[in-house]
Amino acid sequence: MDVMKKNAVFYTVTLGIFWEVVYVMVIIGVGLLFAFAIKYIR
Amino acid sequence: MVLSLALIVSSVNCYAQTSTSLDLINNAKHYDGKTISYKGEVIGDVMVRGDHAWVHVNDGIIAIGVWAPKTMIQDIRYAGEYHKKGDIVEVSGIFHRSCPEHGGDLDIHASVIRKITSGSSVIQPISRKKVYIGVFSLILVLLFYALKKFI
Amino acid sequence: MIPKPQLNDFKNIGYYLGKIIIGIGLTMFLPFIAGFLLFNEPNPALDFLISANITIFIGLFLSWLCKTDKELQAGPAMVVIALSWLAAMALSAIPLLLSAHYKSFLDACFETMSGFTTTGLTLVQDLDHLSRTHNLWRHLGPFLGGQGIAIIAISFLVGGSGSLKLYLGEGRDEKLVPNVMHTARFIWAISLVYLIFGTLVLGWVGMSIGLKPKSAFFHAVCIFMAGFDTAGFSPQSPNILYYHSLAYEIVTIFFMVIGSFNFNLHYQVWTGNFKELWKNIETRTLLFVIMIVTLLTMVGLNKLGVYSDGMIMFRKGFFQLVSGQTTTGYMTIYAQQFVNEWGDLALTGIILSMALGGCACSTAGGIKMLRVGIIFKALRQDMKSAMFSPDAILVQKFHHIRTMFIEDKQVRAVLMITLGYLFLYGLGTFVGVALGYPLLNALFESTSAAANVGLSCGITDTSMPAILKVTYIIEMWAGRLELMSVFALIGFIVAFVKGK
Repeated sequence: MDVMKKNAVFYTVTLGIFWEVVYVMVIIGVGLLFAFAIKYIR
Repeated sequence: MVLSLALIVSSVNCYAQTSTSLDLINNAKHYDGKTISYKGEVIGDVMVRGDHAWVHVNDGIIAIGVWAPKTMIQDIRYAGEYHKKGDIVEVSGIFHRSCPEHGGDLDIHASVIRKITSGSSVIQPISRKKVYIGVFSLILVLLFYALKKFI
Repeated sequence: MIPKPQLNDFKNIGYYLGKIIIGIGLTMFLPFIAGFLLFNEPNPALDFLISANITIFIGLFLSWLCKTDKELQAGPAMVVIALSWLAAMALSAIPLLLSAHYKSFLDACFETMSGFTTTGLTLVQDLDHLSRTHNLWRHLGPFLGGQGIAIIAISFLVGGSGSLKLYLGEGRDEKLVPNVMHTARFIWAISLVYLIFGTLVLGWVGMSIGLKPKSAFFHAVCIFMAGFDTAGFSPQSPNILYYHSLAYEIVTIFFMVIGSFNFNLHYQVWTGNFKELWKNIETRTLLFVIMIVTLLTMVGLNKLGVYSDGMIMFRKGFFQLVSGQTTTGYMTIYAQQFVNEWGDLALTGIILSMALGGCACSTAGGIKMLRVGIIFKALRQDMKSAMFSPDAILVQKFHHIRTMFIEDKQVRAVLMITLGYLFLYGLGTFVGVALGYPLLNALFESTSAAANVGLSCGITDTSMPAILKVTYIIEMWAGRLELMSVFALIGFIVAFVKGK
């Protein structure tokens, strides 16, 4: 693979991992929200 | 006078009676917030965090985390693992079912840690039997593979 | 008339099974090398040398005995898969048995089946004194088994069209790229990239919480493999509670969740199709299901005042829940605390999350988000059609990499497998209750086994009756194979007995 293509792959994969992190943060956000909200409501 | 004597005796009893890990975990609600005594072997890693440390003590069933000031763990030399037998310690402290300071962890905040027995290194000599079987079986496998290939 | 399997069919199965067994034997050299070079544990290392040789010899012998040029048909391929899991279980148990940390061969088999199926229920004795070599093998099991034993074989040993049928028998519905060899290699590539990334992150966090570097990285490798492969093994007895660290828990949540993703999804996202993360039926269903079960569990926990503040609810309630949903099985509480403290409503919530499980084509278990999503869509379609005239034609779409229409054939297949899982959950529950365990406990543990979760409420213990151990082994095995390969094996046996 030439350098250009290697860079493109590296960039795309890094971005992909980034978006997967974002998704997990949404899940964690849901957890935190529910955990604190239920304490607040009660 | 009798009352104060009785109080002293009962608190000493509280200290002297050690609970097992199973007892503590199964009756966590009962022991929550109480001063207990727990005895076992130090295992794994002593995790120093600032001026305190986590020490895990296993009484033969499972390990429970003990949170203690650094000064209290200076005597601890050996933590049990494959190569080592850990120091046997007796911990007295407050038991938490769901420690508010540590994210709800079940733990013991130690007030006294007493080393009972010192641990040691357990050096295991290489088992001759295993070496022989290992090498012999390797030769068998290579022979069979060679046979298979060339016949 | 059922055609009776011929000698050639047996030979076919035996040949490919032998090849896979050789592959398993070769992987045992990893702990052998690590034991000698990294951990300075010669005796445990020798256990693996001996076991590797025994395994390779059996594999060589079998493939030599059953040498055949016949192409592998679909049915026999599934039988190979089913049997290879059993073979892997038994042969991988040998080094564990030699460690003297397991009460019996059955216990060691339970452990290896639990590892390869990425369940995580454990019967190890004195885990805190187990050698790193043996502990590495415990954690390597999920990593290898998670990538599919068959994929190991396909990647290196088998070529030609036999590969495709073996791969499909592995309980994975789809091909990532047309070439099966490429698919296998791609799954390995994703896993290796995350292995490096995960080890570095966990190692760094480990050092920051007080672990010495060598220890931090050993733990990092183990926790990553058991986390990303949604297994749930850990190197020390208190499981994730050992680390007493929010940072460690957050990182493990990350690996648990992405470990439960469909490998197709990883492929799409890693090749630039980021939108798929939000359009995909599985990621959407996962988010939706997590919201429901979190609500259930939080209400249940709050009702009994189990945890005093929001952060504790998150670290104890939500962590266990994500662990159950992704079918990992990591725990930051002790097993008995589920039963003693959580109460029935919260327990029901977590049992539901385990039962539904993670995404398809991943190491996660359970009914799978794809099926749950399709069932909901089909239900919606049926409800809509009830409102319209019988002549109206209604279509329901769903998006999974491509946008597709829901077809009756699909829904039927989905429902059959779902029923199969429910049957498995019930089977273990029935055996548990018959042996005297309380109903909810038995249901919890049975679901944990069949959905390859690994959360335990305390039933899994070396003292549990052998018949329950065998039941859970069967559940773990059948659950991992999504029942198809098991049906094929049963069908094969029936054909042999009754066929002409």
